[in-house]
Amino acid sequence: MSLAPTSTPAPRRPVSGGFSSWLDRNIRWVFPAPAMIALMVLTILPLAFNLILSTQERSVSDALPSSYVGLGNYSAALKDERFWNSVKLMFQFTGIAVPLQMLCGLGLALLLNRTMRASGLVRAVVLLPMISTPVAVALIWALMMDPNLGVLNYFLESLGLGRSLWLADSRLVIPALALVDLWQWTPLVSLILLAGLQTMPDEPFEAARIDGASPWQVFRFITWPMLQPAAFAALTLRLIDALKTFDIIEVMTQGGPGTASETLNVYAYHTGFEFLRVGYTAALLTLLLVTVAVVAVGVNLLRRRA
Amino acid sequence: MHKLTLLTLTAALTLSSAQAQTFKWDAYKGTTLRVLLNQHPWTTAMQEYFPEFEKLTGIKLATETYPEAQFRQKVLVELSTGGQNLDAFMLSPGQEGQLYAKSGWVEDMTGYVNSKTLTAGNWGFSDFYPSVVNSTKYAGIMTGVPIQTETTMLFYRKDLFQKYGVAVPKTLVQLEAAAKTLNGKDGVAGIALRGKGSSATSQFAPYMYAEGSTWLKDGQANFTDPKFVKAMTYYTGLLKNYGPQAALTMSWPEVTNLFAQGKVAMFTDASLFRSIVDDPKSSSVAGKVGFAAMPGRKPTVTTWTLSISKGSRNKGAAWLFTQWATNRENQARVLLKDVPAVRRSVWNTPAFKAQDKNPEWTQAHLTQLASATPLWNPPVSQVGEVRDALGQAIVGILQGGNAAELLKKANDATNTILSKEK
Repeated sequence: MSLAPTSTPAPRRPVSGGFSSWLDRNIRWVFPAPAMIALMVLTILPLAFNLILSTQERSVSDALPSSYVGLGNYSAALKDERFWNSVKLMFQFTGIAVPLQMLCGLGLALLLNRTMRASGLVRAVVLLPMISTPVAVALIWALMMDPNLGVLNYFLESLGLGRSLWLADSRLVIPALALVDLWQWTPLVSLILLAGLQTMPDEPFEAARIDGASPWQVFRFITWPMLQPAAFAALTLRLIDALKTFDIIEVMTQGGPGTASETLNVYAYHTGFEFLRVGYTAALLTLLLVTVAVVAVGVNLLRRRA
Repeated sequence: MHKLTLLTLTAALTLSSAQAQTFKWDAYKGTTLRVLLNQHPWTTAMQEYFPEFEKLTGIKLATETYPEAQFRQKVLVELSTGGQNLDAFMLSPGQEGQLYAKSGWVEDMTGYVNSKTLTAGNWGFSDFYPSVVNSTKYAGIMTGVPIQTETTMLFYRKDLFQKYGVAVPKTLVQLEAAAKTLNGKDGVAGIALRGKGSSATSQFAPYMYAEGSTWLKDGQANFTDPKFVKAMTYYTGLLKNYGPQAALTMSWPEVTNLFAQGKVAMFTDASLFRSIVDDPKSSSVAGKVGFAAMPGRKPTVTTWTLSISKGSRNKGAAWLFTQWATNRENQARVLLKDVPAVRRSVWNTPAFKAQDKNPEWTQAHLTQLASATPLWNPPVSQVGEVRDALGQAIVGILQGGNAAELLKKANDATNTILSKEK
């Protein structure tokens, strides 16, 4: 055994040439493989399993019957009053929260875009709601909205206005929850829009000033068109999140009073973890996924047209 | 799998019978037990003594504690997937007993507690309150060994009752009269009760029993029974006429908080809540709180147990833990920390009598323990769904809906759910 080179000429490729050339040929599969495997395991497989589950009538316990029902869970959902109620509430909640978030977020972004003293500090403070834990936020808001002991009714009374039932009032509960969502997620919208504002070139603004455009004209014809990509990004993100909102609602009302704030995601949680109807829950969640996807795609189509 | 566990159990049985005289606490030395616990006063009181068990038996305890909602979910998920990695856990049989027993997820404790060979000589099962033991039995099996118990009772403001010359109510008629008299006096509501959907159903139970009705009749929902409707009308009427605002959002945290803030004259709920409303740290009315047996005299009893997973590979060791945690010494310990113990003997110890700050509470709790019914929930597997159906009716009635109609709807929904149960 000597370390000296053997008499045979060294091959062009190292001994592991087989593997290496295989790698060379398949590199386009090899590099994305870890990500694809993670995606498979974490997203696609559970989704497929969920679809399979949604075709069965099934409980967590063997003491309750389980059987294949095809699309039975879906047709049951379409006949379920409570399902339609939850869909309506989901859109109500989103319809109140998201437009207001976009408006407030835009206002806040325009304000933050100006150079002012301690702007770093102001920006940090404005972002605080977004980085707070939703469950803690929800608990504190629930305390503030308590009709008997809460601070909000105290303010209302000090202003000479009547007390409100807040979360205990079936008509007020969705707007009240949307208010919390507004408080928590406006900063995200303003952050995205602010990024959009700060990447804008100065030239068009200078030109407009020289041409004597009013501030409104500047906003309407220069700022807003250039801000649209960022605005659509923020809108899409918020729509998806608002439709799926769970934590705030489950912590503050558990869908109550009665089912007055039971959005689709909350209803699915109840059918799954309280009623133990796993198959039906899977069907509900598939419907939620489809709805959210349709809305997201729809917004993107709108954007292309705009 | 089942055969195997049976075999090992029989082996354990024969082994320990050979040593009947001296109980072998170290028979499972080196085992690690996985125990899931609810974040409950019992857990807080017992936790610091767990090292004693580890020292006594050489068994290592791997405990995990979660807040109640997450705790229930975690146990459910583990048991429904076989429960092999779970050994012992806390269980509230009134809530999950029927489902767990019917699903075959929990070990039947009958064979353990009555066994001369599996229990240490002085353990003394006969010391447990019989009504509490009965509250663990579902679908023919004993789902766990009780560790603590609660009864429904009346909490009232002594100062207000005295000031306005109101006697402590013994019947539902007197209860309503008292609520009427005190409502609006000194800025308090007459009475607070749970009104929040499904959480209200369990506290409605004593009113239902007092009116002579039951959850089910002949295996069917009984919500249209005139007595049931009468009880529900009475319960929701108390809240509508003499209750606080927003009663329909109130479960026990809201009710006890309102009482602790001095905003309500009385409430009925689990006896355990003395620890909240009579503690100066959490209550502005501490020291002014009176305790009395449940008006109508049909209280319910709620029990927490330690139970053993059917899939567990360490049943023998899990039983040692259960046995140790429920022995006289440990029951006396938790009682001294205000956790209502389940053994008769510990309530009579000099140590407890010396520190009992509320003999009135003790009296009320213990006198009604014997007669209390364990069925604070309908005895069905789908407890959550049935409670929800009835809870929807309660909220609807509180919002001004027609009681008979809403209960009929809940009745139909419940019968549909029951028809799917095997």
